[in-house]
Amino acid sequence: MGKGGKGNKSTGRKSIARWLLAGVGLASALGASAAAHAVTDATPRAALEARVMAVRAALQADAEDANPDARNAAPDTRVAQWLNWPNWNNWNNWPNWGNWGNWGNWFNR
Amino acid sequence: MVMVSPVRWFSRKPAPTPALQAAQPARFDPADFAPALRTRLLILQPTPFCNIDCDYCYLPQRDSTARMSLDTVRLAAERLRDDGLAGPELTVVWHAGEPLAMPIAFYDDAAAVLNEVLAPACVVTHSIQTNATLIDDRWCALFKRHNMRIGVSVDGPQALHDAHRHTRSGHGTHARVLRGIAALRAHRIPFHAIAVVTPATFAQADAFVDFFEAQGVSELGCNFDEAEGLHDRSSLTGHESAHAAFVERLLDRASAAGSSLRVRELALAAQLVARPLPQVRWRGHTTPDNAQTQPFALITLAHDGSFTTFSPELLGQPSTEFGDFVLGNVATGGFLESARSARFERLWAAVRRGTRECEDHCAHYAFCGGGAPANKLYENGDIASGETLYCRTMVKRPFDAMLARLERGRAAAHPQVATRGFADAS
Repeated sequence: MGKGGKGNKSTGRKSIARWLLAGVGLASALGASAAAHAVTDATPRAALEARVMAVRAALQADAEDANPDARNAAPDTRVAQWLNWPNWNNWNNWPNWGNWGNWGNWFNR
Repeated sequence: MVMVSPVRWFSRKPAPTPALQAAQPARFDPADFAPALRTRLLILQPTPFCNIDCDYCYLPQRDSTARMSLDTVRLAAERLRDDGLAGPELTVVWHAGEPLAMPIAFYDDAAAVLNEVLAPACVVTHSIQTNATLIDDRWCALFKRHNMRIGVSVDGPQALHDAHRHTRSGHGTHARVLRGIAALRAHRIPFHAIAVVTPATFAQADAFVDFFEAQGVSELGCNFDEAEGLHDRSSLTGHESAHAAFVERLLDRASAAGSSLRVRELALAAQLVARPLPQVRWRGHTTPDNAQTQPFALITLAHDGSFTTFSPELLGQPSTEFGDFVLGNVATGGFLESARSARFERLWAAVRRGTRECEDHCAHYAFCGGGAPANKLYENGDIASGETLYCRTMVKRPFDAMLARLERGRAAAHPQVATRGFADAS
């Protein structure tokens, strides 16, 4: 939009046309937004969760490679060491200090 | 046809969901929770006084030398026991102001009182978060007597630390902290460190890690500077790209072969990638476990016996809607009794609405369970709100960095592994 000024009739009609077009666009966008609400909200979550599941599966496969009996047994120690962590938001995670294992193994083996 | 995600022009009222129903006014009933409500942390503030004067501290009344009495300790334990909130294990955190400003004998007596009331059904573990400036041989003997877990507040190399952590006369405290750490090491007392991280830290990531490794610190928590209470603006605002680079560098260093340093935020992220969070149910609605959003999972008690729940940072803070967040006092009533108050109901309803906001809009919800009410209040002005800078710095970015690193490593080695639906395996 231009700055200030009263303008003439021609520019006034153009402005009205622009506003009408913008209104149509807005109405379309609102309709699309309603229809795609679940998509816009769910997609990032679903994508993130799918990535996590893939990594969990890879970690499990890694454990089974290292120990074929692990398939039906408890997760291997590199995963099991996390099991007694009760909570992410346990305020500074007090009960967990001294109990963090070494996840660096996941990268360094 | 290519589906283009539309801009959402206006916020819309979401369709009714179980989560929405959960945010309606509801009488508190501990029987509505599964598993049963248990207090995990009892945070005791034995004195508001602190012997130093950090410029980012959120606590009010740091000049007050008031002290908690043993009667208050006993009442807190009895209320916990009588309310059925004490499970088989309880962590007592002595915190805020400086716990070592209390006499050593207080902790011997307090430990005995807690044990007398709660044992043997409940095993109490003691933790202390200290600035370390007062640690000497006598304190070390106390730590050993009670097998206390020690957390030292230190921000890294001297320049980073002394920029914010001053004496009351304005001098740096780094040298005194190092003397305290030396005493702990001389007595072979394990300790962890918690550092407040500012943009200045981002520029010195390697020096930061080098410092903690040199001090023999094996576990480090990074408290990325938060807006809370008196400290009403985080220095990290506008520095989030630098934060991302810092997290990546921490991950490089902590995952390097031979490194003995474990960083809390990254370790937690690794856990969350590896395992789903436990689920908790309230009136049929399931949420990922988050102690800051569950009534009485965390209880914070001031020196005078007044208490609150949810985020510990809320206790004593002024609020137009929730007063000073005090829900009761152990001298006059129990914890569960306080849940019948109008203030509790307002607070809990706000916490539930905030959790719902996260559930409706945050991709990381399954890995967090609804954020931190205190940070929502101080950053967004509303406990019933969603994402915060705290979420991004403490939770999301470390999680994303760890996930990406694991994808590049382990997952890439197993391309045959199928990607199942998230709910299938959780």
